[in-house]
Amino acid sequence: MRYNEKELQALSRQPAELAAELGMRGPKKGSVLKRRLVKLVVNFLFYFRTDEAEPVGALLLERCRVTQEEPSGFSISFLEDPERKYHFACCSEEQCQEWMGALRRASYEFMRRSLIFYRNEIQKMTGKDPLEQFGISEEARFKLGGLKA
Amino acid sequence: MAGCGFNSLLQQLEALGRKWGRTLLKGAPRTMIGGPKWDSGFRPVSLSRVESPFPRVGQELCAPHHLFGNPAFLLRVQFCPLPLLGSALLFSLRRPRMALGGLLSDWITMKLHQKSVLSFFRGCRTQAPDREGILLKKGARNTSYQRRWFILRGNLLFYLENQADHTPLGLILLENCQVEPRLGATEPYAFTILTPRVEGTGGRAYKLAAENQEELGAWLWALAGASCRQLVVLLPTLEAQYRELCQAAGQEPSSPPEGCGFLATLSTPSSFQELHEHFGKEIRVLQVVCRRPQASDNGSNRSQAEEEPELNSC
Repeated sequence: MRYNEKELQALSRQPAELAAELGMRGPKKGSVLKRRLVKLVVNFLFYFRTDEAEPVGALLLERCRVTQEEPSGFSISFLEDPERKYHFACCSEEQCQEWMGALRRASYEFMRRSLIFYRNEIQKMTGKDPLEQFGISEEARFKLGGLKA
Repeated sequence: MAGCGFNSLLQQLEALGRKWGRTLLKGAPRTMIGGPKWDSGFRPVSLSRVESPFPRVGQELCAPHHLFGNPAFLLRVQFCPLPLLGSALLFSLRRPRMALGGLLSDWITMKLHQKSVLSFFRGCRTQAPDREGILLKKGARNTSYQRRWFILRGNLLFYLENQADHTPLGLILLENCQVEPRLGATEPYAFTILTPRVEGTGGRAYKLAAENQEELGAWLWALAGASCRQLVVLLPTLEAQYRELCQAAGQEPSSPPEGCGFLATLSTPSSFQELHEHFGKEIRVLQVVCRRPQASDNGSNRSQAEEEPELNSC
């Protein structure tokens, strides 16, 4: 599948939701834990060698599962292939929880669902569509009841 | 060029600390028996690990190099098309033909884990995308327009050779892009998606064309709002509004459903009631989705796929 690396590079330079140096281990058997600068930008997770400006790789965070791994670590796997796990080691339980929370909220699908939820709830409580003020109430993406899970 | 043996070259690369220099060093230098020998005693090196995507045969990777203490010399690396003898990189010294900056940007530097993207693409096949349909796409090399099936999901625009393909042909990332109609193009209803620039090099312009005015309008609208950033900006406002209302009404605010990630985030077992409620909601929604008449001529494939509600979508 073709993609333009520069698009990803540009994204990796955007302000990040979270960025920290973590231990990271790939899903392949025999992978070794390496120190990587991990950066969360919208629904992508970039990781850099600690002394480099360009990312080594990127993961798309959609339809993924974030699981706690003892001690103070977590793993990311993708719903279609749950056995392949990317492992991350944090320096504290606190940091681990912070990352896990942020990663679960990072997907476009989660954000869209949340938006639909709040829109729905607010409309129920006030009788008014909160998206009207932004001029996007007709957008198909935010249709109430059209849960694009 | 005396005294600049192969080992010295490796040392120089190591000293530079460049990423791909380290990659090259992972392979043990081996001489190719009967193979070509280049000036200065350089010998082909067998690569044990290369960051994917794997260089294409004939592709040249270049790096700044300080051999002879002269930073102007560039090392040109040619990928050797001798698969039977194993992958080999041949080194040769050439004078620089263009500025360092321009060359550096041609490096392969990053790997997108395609499985994460394909997993998303395939996992969503039975769910309605934000928009899909035929668009004409101008090729990068072949400048004629090709008919492609485009699928927009969130901030990702996939394009396929055929609607039913299992793997997309390509992906366009829609963050910080500019989408504009293109007047004076050879095709009517033409528009451009301009991706952001990186360090002096312009962004890539994807030249597309819709099949009619209506499609053009609908796509322009859909693509303009496709960035994640939009949601990131909107959400806190709505959430705050919701919490305020709950507070005013003396109501306990609840959290948005996690949907596909629901099971993934359960740390303690949920009550049956909770799970029943959640999945019941999703099934009711899917029932509505399945009964919805097809908006465009998607063909029989899609209508069949949607007939069976995905009860196990999580």
